[in-house]
Amino acid sequence: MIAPPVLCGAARPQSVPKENVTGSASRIEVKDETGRVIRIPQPVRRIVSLAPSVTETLFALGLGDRVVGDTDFCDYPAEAKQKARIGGPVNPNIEAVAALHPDVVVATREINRPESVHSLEQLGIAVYATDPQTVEQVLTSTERLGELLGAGDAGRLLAANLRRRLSELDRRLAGLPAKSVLMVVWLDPLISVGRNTFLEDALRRAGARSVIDSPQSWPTIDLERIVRLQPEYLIISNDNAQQVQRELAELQQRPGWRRLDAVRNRRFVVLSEAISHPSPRLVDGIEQLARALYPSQFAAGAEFVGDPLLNCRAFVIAPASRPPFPYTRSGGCP
Amino acid sequence: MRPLTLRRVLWSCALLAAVLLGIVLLALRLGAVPFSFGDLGQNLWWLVSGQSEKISTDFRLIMVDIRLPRILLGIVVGAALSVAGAGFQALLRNPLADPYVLGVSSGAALGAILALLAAPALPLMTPAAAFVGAAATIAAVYFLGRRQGQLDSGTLLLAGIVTASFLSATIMFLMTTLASRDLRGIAFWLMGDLSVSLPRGLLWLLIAGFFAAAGAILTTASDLNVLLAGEREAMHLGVDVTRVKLVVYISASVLTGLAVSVSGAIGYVGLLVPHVMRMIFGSDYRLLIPTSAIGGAITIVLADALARTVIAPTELPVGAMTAMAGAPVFIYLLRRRLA
Repeated sequence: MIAPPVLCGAARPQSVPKENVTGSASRIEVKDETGRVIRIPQPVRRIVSLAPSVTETLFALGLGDRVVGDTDFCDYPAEAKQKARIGGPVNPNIEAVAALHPDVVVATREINRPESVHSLEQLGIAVYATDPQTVEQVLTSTERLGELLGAGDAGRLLAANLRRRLSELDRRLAGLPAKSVLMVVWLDPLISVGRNTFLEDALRRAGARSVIDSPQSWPTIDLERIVRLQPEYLIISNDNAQQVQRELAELQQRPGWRRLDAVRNRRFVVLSEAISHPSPRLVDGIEQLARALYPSQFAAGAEFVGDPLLNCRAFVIAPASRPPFPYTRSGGCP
Repeated sequence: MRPLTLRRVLWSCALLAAVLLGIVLLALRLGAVPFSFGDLGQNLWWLVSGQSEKISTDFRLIMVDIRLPRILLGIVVGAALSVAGAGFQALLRNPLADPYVLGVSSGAALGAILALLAAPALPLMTPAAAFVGAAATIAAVYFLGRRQGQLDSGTLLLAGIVTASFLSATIMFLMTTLASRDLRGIAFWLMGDLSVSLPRGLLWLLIAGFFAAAGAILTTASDLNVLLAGEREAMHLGVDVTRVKLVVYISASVLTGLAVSVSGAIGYVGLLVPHVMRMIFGSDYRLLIPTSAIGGAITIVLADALARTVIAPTELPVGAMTAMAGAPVFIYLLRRRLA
């Protein structure tokens, strides 16, 4: 008999074997990254992810098969789209999560609500919350998740590999002055990135310095301030190339924006969404940005530092001297 | 108008209660995890007949631990908001009055925000702080809304509206300046959200609070009928206007505070349900209060069932559902009555 395909859209209990739920199966007590003490049953066979970055991390650790549910927004890697959906990260459907009988639910403080975590806890479901605020913390968080979920070796290997890539990047960029950039997280209203976020740290590691220095994580910025600060580059992270082209073309017509040197000279760096997720793929994003800002440091013949195991998408950038669209493609996977 | 008899009150309530029961069964059936009516009936029978050992694990988890408490919460919140709305409409003698008009929900929201900023990890902090915020607002508006030592409808309304806008502005200010990650959920909270599961004890406390406050309003029902004709007339007829207004003000505010602190500001129910009940059953408050309570419960349970299932497993905020489905129904009833 052939097992029916797993239905997308409706969360149904899957046929992955599960240990007796009530039995005194061994549990390990750990403190999660928000300081909550939780007890995770061992071994972990069924995981539900409450955020796209968590899903990416789990897949990067090779735990994709144990992910039994993820959110409506989990689209990377492609297999993540096939998992049972549990709603959005901010409004997960508690019923749908519970029906999947997860051994552990992995959340992240960055986008999940404390109320959701409490609701799941009430049902006796272990919820581990991550909270990485720097690139290094993304790596240690990944390593730790691997350790807790039964992929310790994969986690250590992955983290070591990512650290090697980051130090290679450091070596190439050593001694170069940082380029001033405006990270455009959102356009209307203009939202950029503040201190103590993984994204600000990622920019720094790619040899960029955000012109915005705000204590808020995701500050709303007044355009006047940008005009005064005159960043060298505008950075946009978006996988939808058409939307980006439309937005950039429109920016050049807008009052205020027109006056930015970066807009006049078309110094836009368009990155894949890798850099906006605190997952192992973040390192891809950092590399993409570094290559875009310092092409000469990554000249032809230079060895490729990327990891072919992880996704690495081509980025697009309009060189300052070129006429407008279409953009030339450069960089990315060899 | 037909004279109101106890018989008529009981029959009207029984009719609405039957509708509510039907809606509850439907709401139990609907959800991200489907159960057939057969399954549902079988397991419910086991549950009520004490053979709980036969109930399947899935049913226990989904129904008993999640769906049933949520429906129960919806019933209490809907009833509380509708009775509060009916109370405020009489107190302020204004058809536009709703439970939030005097700023109770904004005060609760401010309390919830401060709790989320101070201690995001403490589970019961948010409802507790929201209730404190609501209570503080009730007290402030009471002192601002008095004139010559007693509550004056016009002054109360203005004081409440200004307090509400001041608190809303403070909320917007905090949300933009702090932009804390822990405040992300507040947008959901402001629209109304029944998805948060509460400890059983809190649910019972809520039910007890509802019966106390709604009962207090019900005791003033015949006085409210007289009061609607005008304060001076009521006073001449021997109604203790000051006391009645105080009882209604405090009870309706407490009902609102209770509802809002556990489920956020679910819109339109408290405004629309009393009007709909007036159109169907007439405006005698002795009948209006109980029918509004059951009508509010029906509305929220139905709206939440739809919010949970329309694009399942993604949940819509129940507040969006009540307004979207409620407004056309209201307009229909309004036009039909005028025709």
